[in-house]
Amino acid sequence: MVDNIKDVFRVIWEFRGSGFLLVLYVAALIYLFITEKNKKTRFLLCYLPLLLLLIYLCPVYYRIYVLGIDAVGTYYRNLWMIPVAVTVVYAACRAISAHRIIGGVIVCAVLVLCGKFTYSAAESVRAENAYHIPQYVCELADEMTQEIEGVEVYACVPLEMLFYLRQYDTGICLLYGREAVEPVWGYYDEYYETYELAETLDWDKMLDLSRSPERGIGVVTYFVVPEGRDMDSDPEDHGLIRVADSGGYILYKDTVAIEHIKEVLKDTLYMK
Amino acid sequence: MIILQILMCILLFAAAPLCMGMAVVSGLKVRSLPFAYAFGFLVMMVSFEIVTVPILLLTEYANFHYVIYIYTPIMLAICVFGVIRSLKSGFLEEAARNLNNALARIVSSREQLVVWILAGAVLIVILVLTLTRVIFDGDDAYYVVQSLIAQQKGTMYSSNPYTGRAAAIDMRHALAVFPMWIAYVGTVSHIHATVLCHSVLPVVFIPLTLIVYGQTGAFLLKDKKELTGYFVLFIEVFILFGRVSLYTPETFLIARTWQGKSVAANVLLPMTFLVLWVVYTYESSEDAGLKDIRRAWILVAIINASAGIFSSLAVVLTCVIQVSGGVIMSVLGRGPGKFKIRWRPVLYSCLCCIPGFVYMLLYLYYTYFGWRS
Repeated sequence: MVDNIKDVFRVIWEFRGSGFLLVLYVAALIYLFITEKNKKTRFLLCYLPLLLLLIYLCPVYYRIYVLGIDAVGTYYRNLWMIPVAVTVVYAACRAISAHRIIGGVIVCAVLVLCGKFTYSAAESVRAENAYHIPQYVCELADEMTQEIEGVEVYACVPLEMLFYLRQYDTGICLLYGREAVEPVWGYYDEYYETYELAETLDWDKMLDLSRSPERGIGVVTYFVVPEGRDMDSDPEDHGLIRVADSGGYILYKDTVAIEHIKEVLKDTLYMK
Repeated sequence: MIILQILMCILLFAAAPLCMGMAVVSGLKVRSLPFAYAFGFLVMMVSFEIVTVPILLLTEYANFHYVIYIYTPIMLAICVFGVIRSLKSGFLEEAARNLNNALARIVSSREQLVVWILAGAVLIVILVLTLTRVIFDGDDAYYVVQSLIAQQKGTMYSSNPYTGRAAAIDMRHALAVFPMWIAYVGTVSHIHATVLCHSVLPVVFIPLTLIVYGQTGAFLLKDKKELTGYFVLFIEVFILFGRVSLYTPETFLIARTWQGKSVAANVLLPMTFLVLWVVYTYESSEDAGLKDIRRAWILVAIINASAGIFSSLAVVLTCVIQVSGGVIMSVLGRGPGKFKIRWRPVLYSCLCCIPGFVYMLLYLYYTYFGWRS
């Protein structure tokens, strides 16, 4: 029980983050409890949030949530039930009603000082196109074409491209995806281990995996390699040809894999 | 092509929600154009969910093309009904009159004009930042790609979005069909789903959030209309400087505008509060008849029904808020000074949760008994 209560308060602490907006909320709530006379407003901004806050803090609700609804990691979303912004802003409007202009300036300044700018340079980058995907990803994806109509392209790309490639074109399948690279999910992926995590890229080992006959027509036909990647040999010695490069990445096409696909699909409708 | 795309966006993001909202809001006494517009989005979501979930569960590979063929005429029918109902009830004339009065009030005062211009300028700053800056979010590799798969391949939730391999349906995410709504809009407007998510939807959902908040402010500050502009301006500043942690609704609004949980946190839940305020207006009024009160509670039921499209958690949160609201209304009683418990608000608030319960039953059934077992 004590642990549950501690968890609940820890979530509030994390939700509060680096600013003081929750402090403002508590101040606004107290202010409205004392001064607000309109019963409808008291219902919406005082009684209802207070009850919701009590539900949020209730260890029984916490247990029900964790056991039956979702993981502890999303418990913070229950705080979305509390109308923080409306309460703070409404209380501010009431407080400045006699001196609106100077009050308005002060309220804006307080909100700026207590909050944190959304687009700080450290956490956002300039959009390169309407997709909001790095341009080199789009350029390399455009080069990943399949010679045989109706057969999907399989590609192996570095971590930097992994989240973006299929947002551009779902016709390109990936050898490994997000499951392999999220440390908190704890999956082991042999392909990711060999291609990305190994200090030196061992092409023999990698191509043994990517060209494995068990993959059928799902053998990997394209590899994207960062320039300067430490490799044990030249990819072109293994039947790969350099197709394009962009943004510091080189795109290789595996001709052996393409021949394998053609062999598998021989005498099928795909090849007619 | 670009003219067609813009035209379709105007129809789908402006005209359709307004008409669909008017279909419901026209019958109320507490009504306004912004309220009808914002509520229309939720009506759109409910109708889309009712069409899409059976297709998802019952058709081979969850054929997305059926959604387009079936939902489009249904949406148009609701829109036509909304226009007819609003004309019959005189809502459009009333709304136009109110809009004129509000504009006249703003223009007649230099202070009001400056405040609203400032609010408009801050909104433009937010939108420009949203369109020109990128905040990385790993969940896009799931949600955006699900929309794009539906758009490009015509199937719903039938493959792993991260790799493209065939996969069993993930019921936790699949019942929340908001990514399919994005795919629908992208398909009928001929816009790539990723472009739609990152470069079009912020222009829709950030102003929509402000409309919901602004309408809440207008209701709360009914006797001090001169403060409504300040209310909107402060909300904008709050949003722009609300990223105190990764968990706030404001962070989600800016960084993940196109994800269902963001819309749930910033549109659905504030709308729930707004609608509860409307319901309490009726419940606490001596003049309101039972018919009016029931109509107001229907809004609550629609909100509850729409929650499932955004996320399964949104269903739980709306149920908790609605029942809590019902409990407090019951305790507060009708009229000032009368402290007596009435059971109707609690009963109605529980009845309004029935759509959410149906959703949760579906979720549990398919989670524990498997999909197409």
